[in-house]
Formats: sequence, C-alpha cells, structure tokens
Amino acid sequence: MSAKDCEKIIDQAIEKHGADAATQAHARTCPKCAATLALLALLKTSGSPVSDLKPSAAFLGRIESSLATSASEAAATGALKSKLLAAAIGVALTATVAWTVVSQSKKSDVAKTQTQTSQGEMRADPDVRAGENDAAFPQLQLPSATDELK
Amino acid sequence: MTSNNENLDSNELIELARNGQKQAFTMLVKRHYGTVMYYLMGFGVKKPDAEDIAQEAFINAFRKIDQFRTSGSFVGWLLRIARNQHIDKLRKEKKFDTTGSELDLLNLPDDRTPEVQVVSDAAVEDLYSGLKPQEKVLLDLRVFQQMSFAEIAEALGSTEGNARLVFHRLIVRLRSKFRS
Ligand SMILES: [Zn+2]
Repeated sequence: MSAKDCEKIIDQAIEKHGADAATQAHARTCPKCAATLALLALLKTSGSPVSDLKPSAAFLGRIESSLATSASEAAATGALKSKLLAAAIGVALTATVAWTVVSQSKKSDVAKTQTQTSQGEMRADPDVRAGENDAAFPQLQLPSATDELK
Repeated sequence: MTSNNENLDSNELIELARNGQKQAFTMLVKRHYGTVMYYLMGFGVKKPDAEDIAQEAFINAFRKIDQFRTSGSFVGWLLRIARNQHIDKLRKEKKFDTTGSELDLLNLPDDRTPEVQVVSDAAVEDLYSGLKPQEKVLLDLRVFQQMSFAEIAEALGSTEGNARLVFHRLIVRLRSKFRS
C-alpha cells in the first residue's frame, strides 16, 4: 500500500471514531498504520493539545457580565419588536375590516346594477363587469360585517 | 446547574444557550477557549491581545447564536467569528493586509510567545511540546473535534488540500517522536 492509502486508513480511523475491521486488518500488516493508530489512541487519552490553556476566573467573569448585558438588550429588543408587531397587526386588521366593509357595499351596488341592466348594456359598459373587482383586489377570507349580523 | 452542564454535548449546550441559559454558554467558552486562543496566536497575536479578541468573539457568538446552524461545526463557526474580530481589530489599527488574513499552515514562522515556549520546553517528553499554535489547533480540530478537512479549511481560511497535507505531515512527525 502507498503512503496515500495509509493516510486514507488514518482518515477513516479518525472519522469513524475508531478503526473498523478492514482498518484493523491493514494495521496488522502495516507497521506505519499500527504506530499511527497507537499514537492516536495515546493522543485521545492525553487530551487535546489546546487544553493546556484554560480561561481564568477573571476572563469568565468578564464574559458573564457581558452576557447579562446582551441578554437584557435582547429582551428589550424582543419586547419592542412584539409591541411594534402588535401595533402593525392592529393597523392591518382595522384596514382589512374597513376594506371588506367597503368592498361588500360596492359588490351589492354592482349586483343591484347588474339586475337592473340588460346583457347588451353590460357589454357596452366595460367598467361594470361581474367578478372584475375580485380579480383586481384579492381579499382575505375574513367574515364580512354583514355575515356577522345574520 | 454547572455540574449538569459538564456532561452535556455541544449541541445540547447551544440549545440551552439559545434559550438564554448563560451557564450553558459559559461551559462552551470553557470548552473552546484553548482552540480560539491558539488559533489567534497562530496569526502571531500575543497572548493578552488574543485574550481580548477571544473575549469579543465569544460575546459576539452569544449574541448571534440564533444564526448558528447545528448541522455545522460550532468550533468552526466560533473560529470564523474570532478571525473576523481579529481582522476588524487590525483594520481599526490600520494594520490590515489581505495577504496576512489567512492562516498559512505551511509557511508560518514560529510565533510562539515566550510564555508558551517556556510551557512547551518544560515538557520536553510531551508529544505536544514544540508544536506551533496552528499545529495544535489543526490537531484539535481533526482528532478531537473530528472536523472534516473541508470544515477545517473553511475555519482556518486555508484549502482542503493544504489542511490534509499539513495534518498528515504533522502525524508523521508525531509518530516518529512517539516511536523514539
Ligand atoms: Zn498503512
């Protein structure tokens, strides 16, 4: 096996959290891989080479006090956001209800006009066509003010 | 609370930190402090400055923790934040040079601070002694965090091929030291 193949074996051993049967079989015949696998096992038991640097109590204290500030800032931002959202929903709801009332009264006006005019007259007047209002202004399927009164 | 957190894996700690549990985030700081510090020192940053940058990076990470996707590597994400923090600091000091913004795993001089050198030299028999900061980070990310070379390359601002090459050269060096 080439050095590249041995590297692949080592990569597999690391990625699979240990050597599988094929890797172990290769390691038995390859002194390089056997030594590397033993080295990796030793490293794992010794711990990471970066673990000799530990945060001081002062460092952790500075972080914790900053986190407290961040958390209260986030909470304040969250509260403001929900207030703004509630205000926006209120405005949108009022506008939708108002629009539904207006469009319902328009619709009944159109319906009245349709019943009063003949087919020929309707074709001659392009501004008054059944269904056109609905297509131009898509509406939310909210119960209308008149439905509630029934 | 803290003793319970010690047994949790990183994703569980991240989830708790997302819900505002500061102790969970402090545990993440303790776990990844060494990686972030050695990573910054790998750029030639002296230890006190590295600590200032690390502090800002951790605070920034807590603020942005909702943006972290648990499918990725947390330590990789943390190192990218630390790197940006380092670049910002250089920009403020007008020392930023794009050629120096990447951690060149192959060609970096030995930037160990005298303090780190003393620690390393004191433990001559230790396999880790004499390793450069960036080599320690590479070993940590690959063997202990089990990151792929693609993730390591992204975190270190290197290429996948370079990360693989340097890692295997490092393993050969450690192996010969281990054998002897
Ligand atoms: Zn082999």
